[in-house]
Amino acid sequence: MNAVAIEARGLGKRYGRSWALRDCSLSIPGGHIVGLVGPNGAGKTTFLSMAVGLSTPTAGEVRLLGAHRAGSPDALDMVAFVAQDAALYRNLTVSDMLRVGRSLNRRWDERTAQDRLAELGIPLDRRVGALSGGQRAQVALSLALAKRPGLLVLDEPLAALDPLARHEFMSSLMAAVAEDGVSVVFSSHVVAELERVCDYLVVLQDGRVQVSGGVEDLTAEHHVLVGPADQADEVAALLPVVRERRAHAQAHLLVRCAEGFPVPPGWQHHPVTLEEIVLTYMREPAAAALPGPKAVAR
Amino acid sequence: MTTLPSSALPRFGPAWVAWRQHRFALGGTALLFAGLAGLLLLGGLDARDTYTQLGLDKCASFKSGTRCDQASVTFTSQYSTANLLLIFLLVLPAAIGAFLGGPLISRELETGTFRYAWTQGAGRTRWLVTKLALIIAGLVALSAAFAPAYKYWNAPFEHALPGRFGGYLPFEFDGLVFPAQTVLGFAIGVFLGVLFRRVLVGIGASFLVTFGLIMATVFLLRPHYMPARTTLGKIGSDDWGIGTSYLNPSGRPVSSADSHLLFVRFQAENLNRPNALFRDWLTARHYQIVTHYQPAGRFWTFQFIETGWMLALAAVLVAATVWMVRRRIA
Repeated sequence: MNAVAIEARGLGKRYGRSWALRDCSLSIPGGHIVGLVGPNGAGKTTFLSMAVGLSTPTAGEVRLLGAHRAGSPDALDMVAFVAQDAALYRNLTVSDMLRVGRSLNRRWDERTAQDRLAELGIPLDRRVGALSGGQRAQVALSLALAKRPGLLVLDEPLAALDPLARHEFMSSLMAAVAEDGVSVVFSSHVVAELERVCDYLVVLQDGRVQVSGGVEDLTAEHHVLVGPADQADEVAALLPVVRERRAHAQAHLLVRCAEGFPVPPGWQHHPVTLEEIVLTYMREPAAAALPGPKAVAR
Repeated sequence: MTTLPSSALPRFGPAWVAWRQHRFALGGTALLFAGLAGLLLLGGLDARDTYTQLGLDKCASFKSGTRCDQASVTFTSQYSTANLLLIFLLVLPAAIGAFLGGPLISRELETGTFRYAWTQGAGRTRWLVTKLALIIAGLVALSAAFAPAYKYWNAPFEHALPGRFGGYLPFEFDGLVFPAQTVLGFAIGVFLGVLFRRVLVGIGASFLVTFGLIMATVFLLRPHYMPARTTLGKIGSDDWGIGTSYLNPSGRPVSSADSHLLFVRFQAENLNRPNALFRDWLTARHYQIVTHYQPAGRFWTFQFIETGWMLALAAVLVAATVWMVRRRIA
């Protein structure tokens, strides 16, 4: 499962006259839990819709798990999708829903799905519409995992859940990933939980990829330097600054560079959290942190 | 309970999904047909009683003025209200098509469940085609099974007052046309549902479109599937008279405007004679009456023509629906 999970080249989607996603090229390696973040309207759902084959690109293409074109029969077999608000048939019982999944897929692991639902205490004879939001999300996740997918895509799985259900959902997602080694891509505008869950991050902004990279690399490459404001311009000339903030005589610079760089004399060096990095980039639409072209080239 | 990954979809897998999702719609249609068939059978029994009481079963011909003619008039007028109400059966294809077809896909689009259905291994084309095939098969079977109920009701009336070809309902139910209309109504419903992506709009629009189309077919299109024959004599009781025109004393056709003028003159001259017939009045003035008709022998040809174009249109709409679903934005 080390192949590329999702590879997009020149991907674009236009609705009427406006581009929801434009010139998006990225390569997400397999075996990761990838967080896809960005403000509302950044193109997250558009990107995922094209990745799972629900909609067709206006420009470019997406390939999954090596070489399968998004939406092709092979891709549909190997990719599982959990849509926003767990779009299941609400008038069906959980066991009927399981049978729907079994009936529409070539690969199906009934035992695991049954065990998961039993473990979660979700009654099989209950209608999907009568379950709580958290339970419904778990049913959707069980249905997706029963396909034994190579890639699991989730669109805002946490948006409708309360904090407790959120925590449980992410825990069971991580447990399943640890067991199956499935690659996961999920979109979220909940930035707070990303660091605990994902090890790869893509930030979308205004229909473009702004940041893409491993979480460890990103946190290692970003630093906050605090020092005298009158020297800020000198430092900025030496190091790539993502954001600078000056308060009185002090300047806070968020810089991006490799670890072990020489900290200028008179400056203090602080590590940054992933959340801070993400929020900074989302506030600075012009800044970008992308891996070199080698990751995209094939 | 298989846990093994297999290389093929489960046997009848997509068909089970279609059945599970639409069994209530199909069951409701079956109930509707069964209820109507029950009414027609009960009414048919009653009509048969009256029919034998009036001695119509012993009548071979209904020449005007005979006892049989009198009895047939009594018989048909006694059931005229019932027969008039039955005209509502013409609504069935539109109603069934709208309520089964309209929401079929648009409900998935409206509630978002297509995001689940279209990302499963079977793929959306297989999913859609299975649904359509199952429901169309069900509708053909149910509508074909319903037709004999109307025939049972109508048999005594047809004997007393032949009109299998030109009568609206006998033509619908005595051949292939009714199932074809039902399938077309369904195809229109599914198509408009996907086009507008709204359940209620899909239902409403497809009901109006199908009903309008069937009315136009019955009253405007059907009489002209083939060029009508003309005769100066009388047409057979099973022929379908679709219109009359006149020849003036020198043998030239009278335009429809002039025909109307003739009729106005006839009315003006016969204000005090309510029993006067236009036909006799014209004959007395050496006009000739031309009857345009479709001969009884064309019954099945007409059935095939109507079934043919309706199924062809339904096929085009189904193909368009599949195309839209395949390329539809999500």
